[in-house]
Amino acid sequence: MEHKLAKLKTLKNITLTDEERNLMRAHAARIIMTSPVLVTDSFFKRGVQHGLRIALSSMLFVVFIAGSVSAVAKNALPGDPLYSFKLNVNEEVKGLLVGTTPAEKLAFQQSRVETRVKEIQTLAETNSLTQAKQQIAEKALNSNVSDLSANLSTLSDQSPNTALTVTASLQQTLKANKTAIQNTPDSTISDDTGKADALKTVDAALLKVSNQEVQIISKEIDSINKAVTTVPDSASASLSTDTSSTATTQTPATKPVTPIAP
Amino acid sequence: MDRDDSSKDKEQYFFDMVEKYQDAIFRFIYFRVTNRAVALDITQDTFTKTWLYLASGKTIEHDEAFLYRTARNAVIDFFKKSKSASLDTLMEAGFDPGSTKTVDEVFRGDDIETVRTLLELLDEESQQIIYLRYTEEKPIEEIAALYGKTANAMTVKIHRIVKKLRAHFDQRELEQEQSQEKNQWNTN
Repeated sequence: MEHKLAKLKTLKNITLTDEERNLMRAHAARIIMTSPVLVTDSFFKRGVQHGLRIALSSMLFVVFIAGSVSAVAKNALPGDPLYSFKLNVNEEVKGLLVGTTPAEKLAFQQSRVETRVKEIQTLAETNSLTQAKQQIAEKALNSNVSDLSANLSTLSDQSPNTALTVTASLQQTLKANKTAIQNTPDSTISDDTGKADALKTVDAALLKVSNQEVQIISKEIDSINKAVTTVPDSASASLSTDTSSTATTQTPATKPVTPIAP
Repeated sequence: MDRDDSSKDKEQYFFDMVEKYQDAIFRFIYFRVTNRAVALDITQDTFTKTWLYLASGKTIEHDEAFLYRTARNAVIDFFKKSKSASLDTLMEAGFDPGSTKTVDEVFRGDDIETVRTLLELLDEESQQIIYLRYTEEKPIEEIAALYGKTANAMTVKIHRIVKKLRAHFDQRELEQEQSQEKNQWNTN
């Protein structure tokens, strides 16, 4: 038996032909091309990449949700579920992004007050200004007017003219809104005293802005008076009593006096 | 697409494997299926599986052992498919297990044919072990490593296979003698 098995050795002469060998090489090249090596990163690198992917997708998800809510909240009116979101998120975030100078902040505060009054006007026009909504709107308007007043006080020290321009513009807008509210038809809502309340709220805001304007002007007059009292007696005798902010002084022939700039 | 150095190394390693072992793997498979075209097909399949293993990022410790193991599994798969496949499919594949026409000339020498016929009576693993030991003249340690056995266990296994073959051979010789006697008696 061993002798017969030893004959199997002769099978070792079996080899591939050249053609078959070329076929094998071509096959090897083809499978390499069709199934390239998978590039495997280290466990740490994969972990970091995985973490980053999760963080990025979570962030995008949050941004998407917040953006969607923000977009919907943009048109919210007092009494709507997203009105608080509009006041406390949309506008606060916008306030952080608008700029850092007092003038820029003031412009933003002005636009907020105008928006509040516009909201009241919209509610009045659509016959949906209930007392509850009126209270919410009033609270928001008062808060915005207070912020505006604070900024106006700050700005009036540095640039009274700009502050006065803002108050004048705001008064004009508030008056226009008031007229619009007055022109709306009477409400059909049974518990409604909204239109009257709305007018009261706008009037209150107008009053506050007017008071603020008066304060700025008073401050301006005070500063002019102060400037006048510091001028020497000989010069002050000939000074004009004009108290306008843009007034210039009549200078005596002997000693020139610098104009008091606003 | 640019491939990094590691990919190129793997490709070169694979090409070297193909060049070095294609004849041995082909013979190993050819010995079992006895049909050149089918053997070539299974050899390609063996190298395809080897490459896919490498490409998936795994490494091969003993390439020759890995290739024989892959080829062994490919041959087993082939016979399983042959049993379950229809005759038409088998004919399309160029193989007909019931026909001696598919056994190539190289396996039809007297002694080779006898041994091959006897080997058919053994299980798949025993046939492969005999091939590796007596055709490829592999050391027992290598064959043992390939089948996950110790050298001693493999020595015992080979001894038992040869003993079994001898028994089959003797049985066959006896049957042939009896058959010849019967024929002579019938003739007389």
